[in-house]
Amino acid sequence: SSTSSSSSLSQQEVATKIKQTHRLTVLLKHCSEQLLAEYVRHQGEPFSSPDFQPPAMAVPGLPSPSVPPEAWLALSDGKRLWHLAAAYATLPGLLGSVRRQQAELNPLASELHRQLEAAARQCLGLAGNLEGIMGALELPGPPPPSSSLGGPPTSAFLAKLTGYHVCRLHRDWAMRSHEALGLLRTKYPL
Amino acid sequence: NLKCITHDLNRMICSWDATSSANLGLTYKICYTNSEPFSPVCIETEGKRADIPVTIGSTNIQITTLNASGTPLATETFVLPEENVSLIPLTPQILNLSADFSTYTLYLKWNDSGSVFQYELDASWQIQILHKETLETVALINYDSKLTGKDSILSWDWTSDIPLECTSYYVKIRCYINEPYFTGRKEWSEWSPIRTVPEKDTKPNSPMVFPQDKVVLVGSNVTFCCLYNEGESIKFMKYGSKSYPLLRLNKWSSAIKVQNVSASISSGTNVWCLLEPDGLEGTVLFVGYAPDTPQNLSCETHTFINITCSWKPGRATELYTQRQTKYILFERISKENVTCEVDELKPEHHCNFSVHANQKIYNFTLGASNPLGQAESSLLIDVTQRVHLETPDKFTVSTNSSTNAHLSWYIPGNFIQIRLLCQIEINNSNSEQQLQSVSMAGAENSNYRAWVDALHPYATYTFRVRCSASEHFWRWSEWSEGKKLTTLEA
Repeated sequence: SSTSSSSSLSQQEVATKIKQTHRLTVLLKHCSEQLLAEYVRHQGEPFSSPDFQPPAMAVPGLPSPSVPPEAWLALSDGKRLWHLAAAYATLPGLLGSVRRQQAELNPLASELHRQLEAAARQCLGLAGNLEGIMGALELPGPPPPSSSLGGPPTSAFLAKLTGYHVCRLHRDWAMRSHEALGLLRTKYPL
Repeated sequence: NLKCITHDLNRMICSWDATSSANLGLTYKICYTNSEPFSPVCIETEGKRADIPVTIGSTNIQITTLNASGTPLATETFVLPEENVSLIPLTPQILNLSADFSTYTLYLKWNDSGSVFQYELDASWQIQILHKETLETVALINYDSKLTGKDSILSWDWTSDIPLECTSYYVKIRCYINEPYFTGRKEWSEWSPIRTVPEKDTKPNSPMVFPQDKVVLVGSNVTFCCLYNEGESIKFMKYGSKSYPLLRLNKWSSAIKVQNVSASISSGTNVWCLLEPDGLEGTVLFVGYAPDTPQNLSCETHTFINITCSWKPGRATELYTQRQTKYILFERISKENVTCEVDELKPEHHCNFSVHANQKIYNFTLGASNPLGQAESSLLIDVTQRVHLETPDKFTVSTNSSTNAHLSWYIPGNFIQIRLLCQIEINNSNSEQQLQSVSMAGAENSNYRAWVDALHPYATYTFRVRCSASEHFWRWSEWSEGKKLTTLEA
């Protein structure tokens, strides 16, 4: 990702960047759904049961997109981008931690490992794009990301549960980013 | 109503009831003699008990009640046969109660007070384990020992069938001494003061399910418990997708018993409880097999630098990564062992062991272990009879004549102590094939040469070579790559 000052990016270039980023969120949305499905498939019941709805669990460094849709839409573009950038600054590290834990718990699940790795790369890419857009629009960036899930989980179940929440949050943020970038595209048409 | 008990068969404590109404200021004078012609011994006491030596046969006891000014009020005389004395051992003291939570085992240590008796005696102990909250007896175990005239620390352990974290236990012990020549009554001691596992005597500080990340054999019966805070309650508890009846252990702990568990998926079977108002706690059970005996164990050397042992793991254990089977290759003669790095996902495993100078015979034992057990295979080899050479490399063919060819190839390894046998395959363009063998001295990391004659002039041939140990054939190397050559015209 290149850091360039806003004046040097023309309106056209910003619109192009937003369009590219929106396309990335379309991919992210699709892949994050797949990842969550692949993830639960390897953890056994209750994770793999369709009606599994565990109580929310705080994941260090990763806020849940809990702002209700109407309130989310009422936020300014800058504030929305800030929330997205903050989430995507953290997600790559979290997904990396989940991949390491799954390599331990599910060494045979190579497809899951591949998807987790891809998700971390995609989030890194989106974070770079968001940083570029916010720079171009002269918007304040998010705080530095926290690295990962902290120390190793104290138990296998906690590792599974934490991984589940990270994958679910990844999906939720992908949907929200897709929605937000879609909005931004209408404001910066090509 | 005189009652005498002894703790040590040396002295006895007699106590009695006094019927006189004015109890204040009374004292008692006790005089005792036994059947031997000794003069009576008298002592005065304020309490209605006295400490008297135990003697063989019966003891004559006279108890006089005296008022404050020493005036006798009443006198009672008893003949106390030994049969009326009770032997009640001293109340035992638990010295230490500790727990190994990973094995659900309580460890008890206590002092047997053997020095109370100057000679050897049979002692019986009863150990009682109770649920702390309900005081329900979980186990009552008899344990026999021999008092040796000296104090000994006795230890004993008990394994619970449910995790120790699930509930608190009380432990107490009592003693019974079987003195064969004592004709009096022999009774159990008092129970020792109750002890509980120190770390476990508090309410759970956070909801949890136990045991955590346990590894068990397929077919095991396992009990799980869900601990929750006061004010919370448990909705249900499941093993995988199956719900089980809840057994209430105490105010903050409920358990389920799962029978005959089957092999788990690689990430383990989840055991979880749903709490009111909104908690989810869980653990994972890894269910698998102990390692199978390593199969088709075979060891050979490629270069006389290392011996490579290979084997098949046998039945899958269904356990992975930190629970996977670990292999150690132990060589009895040199007493050396090697920890083998294996890829659990591969069907065959390998392990390298250094060849030692001046050692021909190697007595290997391959040990396989995982959390559920271990197995081993052994193999004795003479390394000079297990030579499996690397594929001949840098294979070249050349000629400067119409009927001969010079061949050269390289084989890594130190074969100075053996002779090599190499086979040269010659194919001509009419796909006629010849095999020629040639024997040569082994060398170290060396090129080897041979030449072939009786070839047809101006003919095209394809050559390949492979080698093995000459004296004790074990295996051919792989064929080298093929090299084409056309002989010169005649």
